[in-house]
Amino acid sequence: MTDGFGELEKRLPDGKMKIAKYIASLQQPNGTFAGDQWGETDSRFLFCGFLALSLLGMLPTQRPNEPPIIDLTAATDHIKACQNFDGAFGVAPGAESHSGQVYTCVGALTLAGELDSYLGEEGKDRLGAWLSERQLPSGGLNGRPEKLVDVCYSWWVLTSMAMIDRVHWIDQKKLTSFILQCQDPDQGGLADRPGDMVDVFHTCFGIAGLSLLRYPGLVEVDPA
Amino acid sequence: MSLAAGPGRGGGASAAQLPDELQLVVDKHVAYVQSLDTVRQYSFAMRLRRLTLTCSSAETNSNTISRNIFASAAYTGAWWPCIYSTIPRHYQEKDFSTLSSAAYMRMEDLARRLVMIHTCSIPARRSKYWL
Repeated sequence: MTDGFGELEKRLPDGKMKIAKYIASLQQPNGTFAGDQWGETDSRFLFCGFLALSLLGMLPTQRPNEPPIIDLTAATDHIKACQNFDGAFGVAPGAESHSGQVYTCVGALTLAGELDSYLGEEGKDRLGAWLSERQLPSGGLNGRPEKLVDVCYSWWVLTSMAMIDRVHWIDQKKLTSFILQCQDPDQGGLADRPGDMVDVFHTCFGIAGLSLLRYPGLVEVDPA
Repeated sequence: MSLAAGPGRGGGASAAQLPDELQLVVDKHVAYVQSLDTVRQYSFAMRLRRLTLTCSSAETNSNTISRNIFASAAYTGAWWPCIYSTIPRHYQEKDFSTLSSAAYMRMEDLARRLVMIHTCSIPARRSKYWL
């Protein structure tokens, strides 16, 4: 990875703070974030906002002696309201559980430092069970019940399990085999499923999933 | 589905190898990702995304619909090589912010056709929607 923050500050004085203030301006009264000035809200945007702020070092928890630029409590309260009875999370309060949303919500709680205090071991067990059920006989993972497996969920599901220390709850050998079966061994790249066309999206998340599985030779990826 | 798909197809190794024999073909994946820096279809996807942003800045109801169409087109992945070849050069290089209403409608129609091409899953039938 390249650290370009020094270059940013050189070209745009106080650039980090300007970016952080733009992100903060997207926070809504109920705590969630909009994706842009037109106001579509989604827990994905909240997580992306958190992640960008954390990379900038501008989360309130990273600047305890400075006035907070976002309402962290309102944001985490919104995330908690997105949790369902099955232990997983949806795109908004009351919405169906989806492992992509689980990633954004668990990731946001992790960045806010509230994952352990909110879920506890019981909550992690319940969420871990739901995530484990995403693995189908082929070894691949799906995003929600009754859906097809897809290589990209090797990241969305597995990284969520890594954040709650439950990666060992799935058959890692079968998942590794599934991901490797999605490769094009001649021209490179990974597809969503064996037989489909490869693309960079699934190549990225397939290899990231293998990294979480500690595949030999790969650099270890940070789940959040 | 992604911004740019292909040219390869996953699964080639699985028929010839047992699961325990499968290995990550690192060099091939690196070469594939490096190739994305130059392929024309990726460049075109970026153009469509920029157009999507331009449309959204106009912010009218009809443009919101168009924005969704273009977003659909921009995120379709399976047939970029043939899709790109169907775009007239005039549109490939156009500064979309200066489009007249009539030209904009033509672009919208073009985007609709792109989606139709993509959603036609049988390759032989694609010619039906050729521009």
